[in-house]
Amino acid sequence: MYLKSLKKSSFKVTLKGIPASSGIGEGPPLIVKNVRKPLINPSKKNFVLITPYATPMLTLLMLRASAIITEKGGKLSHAAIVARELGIPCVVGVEHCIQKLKEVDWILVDGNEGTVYGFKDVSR
Amino acid sequence: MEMRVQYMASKMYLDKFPSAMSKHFLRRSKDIGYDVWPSPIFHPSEADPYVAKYLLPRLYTDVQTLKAKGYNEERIAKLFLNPSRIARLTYLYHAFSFSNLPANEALWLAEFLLRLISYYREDVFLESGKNLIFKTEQIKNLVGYHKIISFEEEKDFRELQESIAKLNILIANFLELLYFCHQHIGLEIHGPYNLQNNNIVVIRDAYDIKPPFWDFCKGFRYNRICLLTIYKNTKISLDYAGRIFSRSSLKNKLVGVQLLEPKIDSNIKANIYLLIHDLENVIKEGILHVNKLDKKQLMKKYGEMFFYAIKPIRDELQVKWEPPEGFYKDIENGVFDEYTREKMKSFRLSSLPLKERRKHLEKIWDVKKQLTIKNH
Repeated sequence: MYLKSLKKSSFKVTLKGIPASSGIGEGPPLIVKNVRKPLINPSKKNFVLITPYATPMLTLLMLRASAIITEKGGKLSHAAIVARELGIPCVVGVEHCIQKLKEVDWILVDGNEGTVYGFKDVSR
Repeated sequence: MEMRVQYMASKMYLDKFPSAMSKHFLRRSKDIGYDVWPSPIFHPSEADPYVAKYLLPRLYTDVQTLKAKGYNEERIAKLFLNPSRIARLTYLYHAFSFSNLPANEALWLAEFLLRLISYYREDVFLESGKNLIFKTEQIKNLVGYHKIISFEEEKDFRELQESIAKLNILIANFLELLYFCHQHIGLEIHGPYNLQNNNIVVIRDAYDIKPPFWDFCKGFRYNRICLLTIYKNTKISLDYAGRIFSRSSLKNKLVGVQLLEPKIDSNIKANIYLLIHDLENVIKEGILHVNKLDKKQLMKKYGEMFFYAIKPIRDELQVKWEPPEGFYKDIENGVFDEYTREKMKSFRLSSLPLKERRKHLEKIWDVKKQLTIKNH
């Protein structure tokens, strides 16, 4: 139902990847291009983490994310293992997702199908 | 035991190694090693030749010395503490030719290390998806002896599930910060062991969490974190790399837990919350520390990690474990940089069809071929 209302928003991008952890998750995007950047005091919560791949530098962010999307990796990649452990949806191997999702302000992640929906101008 | 005798007769472990490695790398990602820490600073295979050159001959000599002193294979195997630590040493096999060991010695060592794993578990490559280090009786005793916190009896079980999941992630990520992509040098995840009523046990044993080559963990107050978890109605498998796989969310299938180490407080929940707090803090320190290091400094740490992995053997021989001076000098001078730049092109496999990727990976991990080519 929520997806229906989101579909009314002005901009939408749909991306496909490998479903790595099941469930549906959503939130504003948090793009971390530089996986080496120290992020030790994340204040935000319940965002969708978008990153090339997961490193231990992103540990504290991953714990606060509502879903994870990575450009690289397979079902046994680090992000996938973390997401399954935490019970949050994760789609991996979404090519060029950082570039394609940089203009959206809301993301819905379908970890069952491996689909990522990006929305702009969402009224909630 | 029988399986080991069969393997010994035919050298099958080494014969099986390339296909076992290719299988698990194929499941990991399309381009191998480009999405694991220490990437993006360097690809693990950039540093492996530097390590292989010094570590493998050292290991060969040490093992021969131990054998001359009367140590049998099982006793040598047990010095490594856990099977995944040995398995991680085999990740250097793609760079075996840098060891400069004569082919017969190199092949002997390559097979020997794989055989040592069989003293811990019969299924060396975890083809069954199970890393069974404990016997059924041991597991039953462990579960019977320790009071397991059953979530079915807890009002706030959702909160507990959440905390345990968080703790598991913090343990794994902390170990990754210490040991890069080879966190299983200090972490053994074993199981799944079957219990009654579709319950299964998984043990996460972070048994070496203060390696001396890092300063940031010196003040960490624990020496070991060992968590026993019970899951219900789910399938969990483990692979040769020590990675855990399940189709469903693990958190929601958690039905019981016990913290085997450390025992700080009699209240397990208080222990878990305290551990989460302390792990978050040490990870923060680690991230800040690691970020100050440049590529060469990090490559040296990566190498020290491998040398540290055979420290128990060095201790037995009463010799220092640290890498020799030549190792550091080689990295400073970048003696293999050109070679690795070229070699790393062979790790870019994503454009190839699956069959080709498999073939390519098998070639990379085929020690026999690698050494035969070198000797010609």
